[in-house]
Amino acid sequence: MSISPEEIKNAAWDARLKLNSQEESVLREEAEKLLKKALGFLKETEGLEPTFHPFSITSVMREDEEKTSLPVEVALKNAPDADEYCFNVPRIIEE
Amino acid sequence: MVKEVKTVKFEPVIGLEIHVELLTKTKIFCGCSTTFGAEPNTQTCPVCLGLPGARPILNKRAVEFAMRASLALNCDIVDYTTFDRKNYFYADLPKGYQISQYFFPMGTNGYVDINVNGESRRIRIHQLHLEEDTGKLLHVGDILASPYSRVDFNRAGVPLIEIVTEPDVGSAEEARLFLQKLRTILLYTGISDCKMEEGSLRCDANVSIRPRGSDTFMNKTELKNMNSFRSVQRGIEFEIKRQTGICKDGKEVVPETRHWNEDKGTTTAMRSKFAASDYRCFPDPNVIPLETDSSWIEEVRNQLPELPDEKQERFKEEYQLPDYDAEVLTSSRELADFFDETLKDYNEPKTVSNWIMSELLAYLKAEKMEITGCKIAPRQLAQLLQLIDKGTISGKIAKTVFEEMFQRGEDPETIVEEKGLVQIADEGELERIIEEVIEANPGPVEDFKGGKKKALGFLVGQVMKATKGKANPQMVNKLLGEKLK
Repeated sequence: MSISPEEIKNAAWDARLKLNSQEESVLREEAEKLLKKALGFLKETEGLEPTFHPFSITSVMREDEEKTSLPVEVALKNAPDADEYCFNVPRIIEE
Repeated sequence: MVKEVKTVKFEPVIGLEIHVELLTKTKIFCGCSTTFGAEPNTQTCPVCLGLPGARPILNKRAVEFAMRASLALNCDIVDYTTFDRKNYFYADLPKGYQISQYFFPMGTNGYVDINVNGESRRIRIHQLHLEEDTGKLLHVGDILASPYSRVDFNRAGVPLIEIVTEPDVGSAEEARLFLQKLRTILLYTGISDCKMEEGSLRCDANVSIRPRGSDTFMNKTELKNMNSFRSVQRGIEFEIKRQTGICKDGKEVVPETRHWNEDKGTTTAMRSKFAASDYRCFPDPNVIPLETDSSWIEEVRNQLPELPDEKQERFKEEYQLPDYDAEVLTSSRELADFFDETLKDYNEPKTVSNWIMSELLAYLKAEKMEITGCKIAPRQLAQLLQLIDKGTISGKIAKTVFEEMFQRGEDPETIVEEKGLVQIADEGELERIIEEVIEANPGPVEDFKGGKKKALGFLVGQVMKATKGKANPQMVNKLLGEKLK
């Protein structure tokens, strides 16, 4: 099972990582090792119920009751750029 | 080769994805309010802003609403489900992922039956899942000239259900009919206000075409930004034509997301479609999985009201109403309730149906009002109809009274009294008026006597005119007939 350089490029784009060609090749090797290991696990656990969650408890819910929200200035406090009410981000235009 | 393609007939294959905001008071994983229209970012907290260490806890009512919708759409309900992270980067997504039900949707294998030109068509529901809404991007002035975008996270975390149909929709018209029926059903269940103009009901369409009769699937496009039933139909119609043109030229449709432009009446490319694997979905370790059991499901099922299809059947069977009446009257829960309530005081279903369909709905339409804003109470409509039966007013005068009732919400008796609209059923008085009419209209009287039966209608009209419509029409007919013998 191998991973192509193209797949590494795509995964890097999905994760918004900017990689040089050396980093790409290192990551590709590491990803291949991980994949091999994972496929091994898959074989070892064949026939077992998959674990979807680390906890065995289920159905922890809350009632539909309103709680106080953050004051807007607190909500915006960590923003690198904001105005009175909004987070400001670079203009988004799809190519 | 190209020549051959040009002669091929194509048929559309359409699947719809509908997002519906749930009418909970608070968001899906936190207690922030979901009220529409608040100042930006005044309804946020560490959970819906995705701050480190925040702990999302599931809103029980959101789960019950999703179950209610699933049951109303004839879906099977899942017994164990996780909430999963769908990862992608966009400025309206504070955590860098959206929490959704990727692996085990709340409902599967449902259906909705629609009526297409008198024929029933079944549109299957592939799945219904629960997820959180994203924030909203606000643009400063003209989008192209603006140096930055503003983000409002009030909507981030509002509970949504996404309903995905099978590709069973065969035309743009069917898409609109399905969406209208779906909206009616969801409004009946009370889980959403389904306002397309406020974005609480949003519809995307996956559209492709294929040679007629073939069972292959060709490249599809996803259509977005259709904000009304009309634009859903128009957008899909345009897209079918566009794709047919491409295929007839022997070219291939590019799989992509396209934006419907209502003003121009065209679609334009937005971005290449993501493959499902690009989202790298996995169960969110911060959200505890959910289990449903049959007693809970039954409890939710019992909360369901009578749904449009059942109600329609009941109206036809119990009240012997024609298909058309039953369909119109059940088009909203409030209208159907109005009808049912009126019958409690006046048990003549077809008469009540006629008054609702011809008078009430016409006035509501003219005033651009919903039945919920109507000033006439069902009890008052029943009283009006009783006044006709008692002979207090004629059917014609009743329409005048109805108009007054619609404007003022006053009882019919009050209006009749106030305006002196009581029917003239005094034989002596009517005879006097009839004699005057006969005297004033020798021509038509001669015509009638000469065998022109139509002339009687004219004379009856003159009597009605002289009494301002208050004469009892049956008596006028009888007395005039006698006088002219």
